[in-house]
Order: sequence, then C-alpha cells, then structure tokens
Amino acid sequence: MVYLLEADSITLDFGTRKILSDVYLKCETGKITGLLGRNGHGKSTLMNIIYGTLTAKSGTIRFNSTYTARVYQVADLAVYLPQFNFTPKGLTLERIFKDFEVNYSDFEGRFPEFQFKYKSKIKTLSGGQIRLAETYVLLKSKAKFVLLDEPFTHLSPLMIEQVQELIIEAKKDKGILITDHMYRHIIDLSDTLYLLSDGTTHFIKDLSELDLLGYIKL
Amino acid sequence: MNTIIRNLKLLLTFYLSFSLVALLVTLAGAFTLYNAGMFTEKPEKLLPLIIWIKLITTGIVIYYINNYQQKQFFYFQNLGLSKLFLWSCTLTFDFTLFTALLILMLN
Repeated sequence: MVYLLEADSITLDFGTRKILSDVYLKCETGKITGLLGRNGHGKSTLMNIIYGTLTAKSGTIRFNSTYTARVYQVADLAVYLPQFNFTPKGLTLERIFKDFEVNYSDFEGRFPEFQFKYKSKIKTLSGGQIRLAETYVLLKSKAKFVLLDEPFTHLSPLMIEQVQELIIEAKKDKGILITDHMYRHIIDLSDTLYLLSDGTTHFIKDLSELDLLGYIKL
Repeated sequence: MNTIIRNLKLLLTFYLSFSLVALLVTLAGAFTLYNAGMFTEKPEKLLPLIIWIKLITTGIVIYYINNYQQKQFFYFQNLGLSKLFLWSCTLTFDFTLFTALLILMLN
C-alpha cells in the first residue's frame, strides 16, 4: 500500500516578512522527494510545519487525505532529522538503538568503526559519527516517512555514499523527504524534486528549470 | 507494555536534564522548613516564601531548557512524546515530591 503525506496551501509569515506562501508538497512511500532552496528560503521551516513542531498561519497537512495536526504524535507515521545533532549527550548508543527498536549488530556490521561502541555515550563520538547514528536509526525506524534536513552535514565523502545507499534502501517501504545544500546528491537521489523559491514550491520536471528559477547555473 | 516502559525511561531521561536544580531547591525548602522550628513557633509562615522560590526556579528551568537545550526535544518527539507531555509529567512528579516533603517536614 502506498501512503501519502501532503502539505497543502501552507502560508507562514513572521511579522511583515512572508516566509511561505501557498506551498504545496507531496511525499509518498516508495519515493524520495527532494526539496531544494537557498539559505533562508524556508526549507527547514516547511519541514517543521509538516512534522508538526511549527504551526503554519494557514494550510493543512494531510496523511492519506486525512487532516493531521501533529504528524509526530501519530504512532509510526514520521520521524525528523533536524540540521543539528539532537540526541541527548548522556545517552549511550545502546539506549538509542533500543528506544528506536533498531538492531545494533546490523549497524556495526555495516559501519565497522562502531564496533565496541555499543556502550559508548553520544558525547564521546565525533559530530559525523553522531550524525550517522542518528540518520541510521531514523531510516531504520518503523516510521512510514522520514524527513531529512541536511543529512550530509558533518559527513565525510565516504559516509555520504553510505548514507545515500541507506536512503535508497529505506525508500522501499518509506517515503523520504530530503533537503541539503549538496544539491547534486539530492538531484541524483530524488524521484520527485521541488524547489522552494520566493516562498513557494516549484515542481521541477527538468533540471533546466533550476537554472531558470535562479537556483543553479547550468 | 514495552511502550509504557520506554516512555517512562524517556520521561526519566528528560527529568534528569534538570533534576539537579529541581531536587536541590526541593531539599533546600524542606531543610529550611525542618530547621525553622528551632527559631520560630510557626514554621508554616515560611511556606509562601519556599513555594515562591520553587515556582520561580521552575520558571527559570523551563525557560533555560526550552531556549538553550531545545535540540533534545526532537529526540523525544521522534519517539512520539510532545513537549507538553514531557513538561506536564515531569513537573507533576517534581511538585508532588516537593509537596510531600514539605508536608512531611511540617508534621
């Protein structure tokens, strides 16, 4: 069964500054939806609105055509990787993997640098390792949708490749919404692509549109 | 059942992020009330002051966590727990403990 998560007619302003205006975005299971946009154009804001941690001035978030006020409070519906490391520093990898019900041996088999780190506290890991562990548990969690806000931040080129593989694997039974400034990775990964520009989303059918809309120069 | 245990552990993790200050204020209040009997016949007169100190420090704690440790909320939200749920459960526990200790000291 295909599940659908939609943001429709989303509007948000901070005082006189319009951030989002009549935004539409659709994410479905089995697909990776890429969201591109310049700094400060509202990508993270939109993700927070979809996730339910920020309230839009107007508009709706729908799951399978049903209005859903706070996506994160619906069991196993969606998880969100913010731009920054979010795990409390005192927790161990063991605790995190147990909380998200994710198998650690698969993880250390795939990433040997995490061998013998099962009992390690998050604060003893590097920024890249924390990012990788957080991305992994979210992608392997039971959630139907994973919202990834700059997942490649802090990661080495090799780690980026591994995370890309994880994302492609995860899309078999999940919907992925991803944004990052490494736009080539996003373009390569995405089945559907949106550009957030001038406060609204533009559905991108051809890469030349990114040039026309002033996001990149081809 | 597993979810309930997991949520209790998550609540404990969140409580531990500010428990040091919260418990110190509670214990200081209880200690003051306990020893006040040596200096005054009506130690309960100190109650409003102790309660106000507890309320003000709790307000400061909430402000600090919400503004300077807000990143951790995504961990709990990714596991289905809202900010409101975290605060209401942990503060209910904290104030129950505070009230119980004060009653115990008064008796």
